[in-house]
Amino acid sequence: MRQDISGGSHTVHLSALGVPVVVRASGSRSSELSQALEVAWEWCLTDPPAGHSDPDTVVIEAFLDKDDEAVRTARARGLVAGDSLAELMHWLTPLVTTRAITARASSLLMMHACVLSDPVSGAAVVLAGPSGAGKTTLARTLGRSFGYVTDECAAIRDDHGVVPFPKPLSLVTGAASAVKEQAAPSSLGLTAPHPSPRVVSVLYLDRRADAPSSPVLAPVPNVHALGLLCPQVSFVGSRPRPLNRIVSLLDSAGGLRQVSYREAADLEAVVGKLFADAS
Amino acid sequence: MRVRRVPFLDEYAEGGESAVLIGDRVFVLSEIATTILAAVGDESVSVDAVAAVLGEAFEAPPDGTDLLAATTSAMHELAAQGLLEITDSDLQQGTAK
Repeated sequence: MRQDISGGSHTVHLSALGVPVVVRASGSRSSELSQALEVAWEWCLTDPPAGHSDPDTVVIEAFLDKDDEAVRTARARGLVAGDSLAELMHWLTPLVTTRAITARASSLLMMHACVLSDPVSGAAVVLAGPSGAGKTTLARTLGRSFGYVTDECAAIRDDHGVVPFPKPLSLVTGAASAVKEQAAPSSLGLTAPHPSPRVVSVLYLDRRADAPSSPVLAPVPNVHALGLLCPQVSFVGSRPRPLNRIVSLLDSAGGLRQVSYREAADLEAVVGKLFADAS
Repeated sequence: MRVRRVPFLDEYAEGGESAVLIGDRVFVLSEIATTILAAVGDESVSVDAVAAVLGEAFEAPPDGTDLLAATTSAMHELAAQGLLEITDSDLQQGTAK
């Protein structure tokens, strides 16, 4: 039972990057919203706490109602409010993600990356890159063969274990649509992540139409790797010795390699070989 | 004609090059820039002293360029990037004395 119902509102309990997140849905369509959240966030659902709730719990108040005046009033009260389920879901995914990243700023190395895992061994490949580098497309394409750990935020502990964050995938549904569909991983045929992934390789994504027809891996010296990866790290300066922490990760994973490629499917053999090499 | 480093959150050097983190910005530095920052350290030093270190570490600038002028130019570039703080008005005006 991951959903509470009280006082006309519905509460959905999530774990995002290990942070307890409570989404309280209210409004005349709160049931619809909470059900949609449960579907899209299926692999991040948790049970309500048995005793006292964690003091670090992130609470998000969301309001879905068909009445414009009610929505305006809710927004004035600081709620995430709307009259469109699709729009509200579109806003909530980055909000949950951002709040969780903020909560973990001092305890995890978090970088913009897709992470795939070997479902058996837990070996994990981090595919880092800025927006537009193809992270979500890679997760959607390769996550059918390999475990889908995340499409957006690689949350890495100091022991180089990865905190799974199999959030909904935000998909562009039409050229004219500003609202991305929040797709449940299972609805795309993705494979659930290994419960305890561990980084064995880190790649930096270089997707180009003029890339070689077969993906090319090129080693990147650590100093230059820092130049590529640091802009992708959230709250990079919030922990002691951040550059040396990243280098420690890279050294344990054979160094950063930049992969130039055209299409996501082209990387299936590359990632498969990295898993095979790690076993 | 004196400069000092701004505080770095972290730095990493390898193969003569380095990366430094200031705020949330990372800078990847060449061998010359790395040598300059190492020579400057946390205390205010003169451009002449830094030029002397560069003169020992690297070959002379090409085309007869004056070492002190080249060092001053590099200092200005690093200061413009926020890596060095110029503590002398002469250097701020671009005059190396």
